Amino acid sequence: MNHLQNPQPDAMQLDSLALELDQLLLKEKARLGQADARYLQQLIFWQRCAALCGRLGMLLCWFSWWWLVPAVLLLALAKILDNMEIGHNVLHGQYDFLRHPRLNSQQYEWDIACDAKSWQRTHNFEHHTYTNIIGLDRDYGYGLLRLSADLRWRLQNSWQFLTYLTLSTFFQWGIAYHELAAQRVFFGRKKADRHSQVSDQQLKSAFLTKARRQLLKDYLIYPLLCWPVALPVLLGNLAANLLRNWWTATVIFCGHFTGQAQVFQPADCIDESRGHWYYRQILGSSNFTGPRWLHILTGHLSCQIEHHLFPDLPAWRYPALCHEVRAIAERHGIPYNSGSFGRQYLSVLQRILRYSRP
Amino acid sequence: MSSIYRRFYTEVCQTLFRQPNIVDAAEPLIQRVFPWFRADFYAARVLQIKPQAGCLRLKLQVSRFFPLFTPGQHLQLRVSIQGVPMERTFSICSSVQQLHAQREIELAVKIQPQGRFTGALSGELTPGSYVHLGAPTGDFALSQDHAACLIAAGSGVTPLFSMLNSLSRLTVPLLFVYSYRGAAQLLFAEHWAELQAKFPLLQLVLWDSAVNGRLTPERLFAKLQPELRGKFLLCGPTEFTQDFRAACLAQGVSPNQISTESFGLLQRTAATSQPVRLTLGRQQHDLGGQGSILQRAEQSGLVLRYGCRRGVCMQCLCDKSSGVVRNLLTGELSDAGAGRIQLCISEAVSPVELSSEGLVV
Repeated sequence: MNHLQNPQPDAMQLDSLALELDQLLLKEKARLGQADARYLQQLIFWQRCAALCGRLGMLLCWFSWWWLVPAVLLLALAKILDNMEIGHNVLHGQYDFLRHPRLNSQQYEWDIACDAKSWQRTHNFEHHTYTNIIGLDRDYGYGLLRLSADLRWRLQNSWQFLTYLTLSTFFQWGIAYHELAAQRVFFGRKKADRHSQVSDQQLKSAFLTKARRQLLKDYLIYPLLCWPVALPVLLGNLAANLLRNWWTATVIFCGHFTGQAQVFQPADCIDESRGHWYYRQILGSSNFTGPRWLHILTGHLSCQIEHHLFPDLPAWRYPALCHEVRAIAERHGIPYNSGSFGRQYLSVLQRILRYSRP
Repeated sequence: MSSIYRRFYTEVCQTLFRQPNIVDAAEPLIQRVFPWFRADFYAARVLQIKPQAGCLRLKLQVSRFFPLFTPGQHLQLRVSIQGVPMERTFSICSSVQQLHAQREIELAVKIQPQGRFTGALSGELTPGSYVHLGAPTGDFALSQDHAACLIAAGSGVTPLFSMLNSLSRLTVPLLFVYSYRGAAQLLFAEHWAELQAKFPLLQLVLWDSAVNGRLTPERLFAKLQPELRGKFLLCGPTEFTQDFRAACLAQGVSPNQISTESFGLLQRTAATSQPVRLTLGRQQHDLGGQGSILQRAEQSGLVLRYGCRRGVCMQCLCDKSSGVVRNLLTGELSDAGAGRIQLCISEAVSPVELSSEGLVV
């Protein structure tokens, strides 16, 4: 769906949009302080507890394999919290103002296969700057899926629903390999227009180091530490990683590829104003509603619109901003895409299927 | 061997916990039981807060893990101001013996009423609350084997007082000059008579500049010419230590006999604030506000990495592509081209362009 079907806002409307959203951001930033520190501290405590209980719980397989179920769920919960609510948000620099020596965007490393620095280049910079611009935002379909008529249909798109399921299953590896794929590090011909701040050698070594550590941890060291029950522990770790992959992929697809999420052409965004950037972020993202625990499990990416408008504001503050952002968007005639989790996910699946045909 | 072991340990911790060591990984769990615990800082409990001479004298209880310091060293004090932790550097003013016997250290924090940190400090701390300390660092130290002249002004007396207070006996002559403005500004007022009585070889000059006039090298040397010998330790505002250093050099003292520790930045500031443009990755920021470039960046809402804020630790190093800056410690002007500057002690005297990749916290 292209944004041109909407009534196009003029420069004055965009300026007023930028002004109102900037004011909202300043107002919220003035409130940063103790509450954010406490939230992060509590969150990490419960995440570590879940990880510890999950890993220790797997030892109970000695008595019965049924113990694997709660243990895997706890470990998956820990991995989801680390990935979404802690890792994603800390790496966005949302908690940098707390000046924590390790919980900051430069030092933090998360429990997924992707190297944090590489993710910051592709996600924080590419995706958040060029959100939903065809050809510039490589997160739009990840170069695998056709999700808009603006992209040419290829034969491989006919089975893209299967591609989507595979991508979800190996989601952490997809993210880890994302930047290397763009740079054609291991194979493929280099693209002339691709520039990178880091050399292929650095990309390769960061990718291999992180991949080695993650594989060793979940599939060798922890199983060996639990020796008599090594096999169930290995399978449990695999299951926890799978659950996390499916969950994160689902949340992220619901944030960007719902039926109503709109795309832009590079030509629309030359010399873009701050107002137009805000406009694009609102149109390119979609929210879903749900109870508080659902918001926390998604890392508050259920408020994807607010996240894209204010990526460096502590994410737990987004739900409180929803009403105001929605009111501002409606005042400026911009559709604000929100719905229940189930409805949004259904529209994602429909979209994947619809564009698999020419 | 120990370095191989250490690398192995770090690699294991990185693999299992994605943290450099196990304490960092366990920090969130330990904090549940001991909320004051920090893996990267030494926690200290405030025992006593006493305003004296425009300073806040803090007596702190530290744990037995706190390292032994050399008198004259300084450390970072980290306190949450309205929930946001901030650090500033202060000299330790208590003795080594006090740390050894009672696990106590004392700091004298000069209050700047407008200061973001010191101005808010008395409102944040009460006896019983916790602060966090970095490890003591610095090489400003007194050798007990040689005669020495210790000259301090204002709150610059704190490291020198720690040196004097840590002496168990004095076998060489020591000249201690302390300039303060008016009796109300005399720090450690309760200790001076006792110290003079304890050390017969100590010549103590308490110079009240409200009565005797500002302490200048000329006035001091005119009064005390014959005793000037040995090593010189100077501590005070930057202009004060610079003047005394120059005077000592003029008297024929060798430069390696003089060590100085300064605080505060030169007062000779530019009349108008020059435009500064800071490029962080793809973002460009035009800095408003007044003062050093670091202060201006903070006034403009940026959170940059910093450490000592007085030109020592190099945490705020930044690449300058063009423009002239003045070093606020020495008053030196940089050249107009590319170079590296410390943001905390640099002030723009022409339009300046800066760029940095790693400066954002």
